[in-house]
Amino acid sequence: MNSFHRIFGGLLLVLLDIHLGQIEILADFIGYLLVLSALNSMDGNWKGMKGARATALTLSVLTIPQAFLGQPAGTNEGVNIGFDPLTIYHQALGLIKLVLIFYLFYVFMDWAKKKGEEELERRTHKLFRGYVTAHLFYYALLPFSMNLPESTVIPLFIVGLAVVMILEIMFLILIRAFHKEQNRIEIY
Amino acid sequence: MKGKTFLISLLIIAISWGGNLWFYQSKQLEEPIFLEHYYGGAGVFELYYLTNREDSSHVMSVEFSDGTTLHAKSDYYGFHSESPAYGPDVQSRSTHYLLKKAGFDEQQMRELEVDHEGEATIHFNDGKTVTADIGTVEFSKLREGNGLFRQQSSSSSSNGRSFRSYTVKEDVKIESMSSPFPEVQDDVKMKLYTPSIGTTGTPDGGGPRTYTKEMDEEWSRVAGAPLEKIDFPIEMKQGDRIRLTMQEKPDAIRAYSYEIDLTGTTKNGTPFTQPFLVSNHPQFTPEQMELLIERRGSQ
Repeated sequence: MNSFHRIFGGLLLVLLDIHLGQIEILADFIGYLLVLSALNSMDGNWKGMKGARATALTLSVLTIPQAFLGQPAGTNEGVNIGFDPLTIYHQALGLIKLVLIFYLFYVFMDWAKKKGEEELERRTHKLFRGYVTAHLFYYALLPFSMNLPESTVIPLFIVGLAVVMILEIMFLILIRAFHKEQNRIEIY
Repeated sequence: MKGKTFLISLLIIAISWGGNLWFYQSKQLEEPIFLEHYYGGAGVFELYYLTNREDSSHVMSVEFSDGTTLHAKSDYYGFHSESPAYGPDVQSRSTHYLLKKAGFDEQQMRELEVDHEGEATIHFNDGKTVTADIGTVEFSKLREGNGLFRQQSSSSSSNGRSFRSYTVKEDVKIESMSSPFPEVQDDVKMKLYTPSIGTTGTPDGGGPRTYTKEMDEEWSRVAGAPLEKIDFPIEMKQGDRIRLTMQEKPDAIRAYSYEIDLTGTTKNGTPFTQPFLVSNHPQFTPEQMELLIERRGSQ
């Protein structure tokens, strides 16, 4: 299993939430540990690698309690976005995850550049801008849902969630592309 | 995107969270705010109060100023919802608040002869106790019908307009009208119509269509005369209609349920009293909630 494959698996674990009562099986911290081990097996000189490793380590520690705390009440309801400490903890984790992805993009772009994969580098750069900008907007606007009427918040929230979800999937697909490239390079 | 831009964006996000959390906190009520009630024993006594949106507690019992205690009827039997905003006792909701009500049995109030004014002690199911001015709450004796008035129709609309109308079964003379809470008339405009009172507005053509139209008609065009301008006695012939139309003002934030009494005599001299129910079931807009907090918050 090459390193891109492990990053892909790790981030997929983070994206999937399967709960058995309070306890999350396939917990997020396992996913982040997988990402961390993949990053450690890679060359440390790629641009952004240091930051990525540090953030992955931070996340794999910070997400341990999450596996046992269950989902915030708001997510079960679907409609209400509560602002209890649990929700804020979840959102903060989301934000740190964004930092990790930010560094990962740098690593990927540098990797593609060094390997002379211009097409892949261009594609990564494009998704990088879209992904990070959309997520930054999402997190900046999210807290306004505390103070705006429901009728405004719910449609915006649904659209925002859909956009963010699509971008997550696009990112995973991109990692698959890197995984294939690496395999191809290794074979030759 | 450069690292610096990213860092600044994260900073903006932190500010957005901090600012919104601060604003949200500043909007929270320390304790529920109770409406001013004018209850004169007509129908179920409903206690209205404003709470924070996340507050899931509800009223269990009330100790009135005369020492009597009443338990609220439970709407919560067999009901469970994760979100307080969608409980069965919620009348209106805004971004930060909920207007809730608790109902009390009128029969029980009659037995205890509740006579309350001013501050009451309210117990909540989460152990919280609040002392607040809830207005006037009085029981009333059960009355016997006089058999003279037949209910014709009654209706109320979301714009605060409502009316009740009756037809009289014999010739009667109405000599006076009295309200237990004249101060409520600051909040509600009322017009009384009988064929002998003025001819402003819609003539009493009969038929339900007239009434429907009346609900949206401009107040000045509503049939009848304002209560304070009526010259008593009012003569009514058999089969005549009498109608009381009420219009709540937009800034009315009180809860009331009482009866206005019409007193008079029949053709053969027997005196009678006929009640007209005046009640609202407050449903507040976010603006009215703010008004309530402004007027009655932190008393």
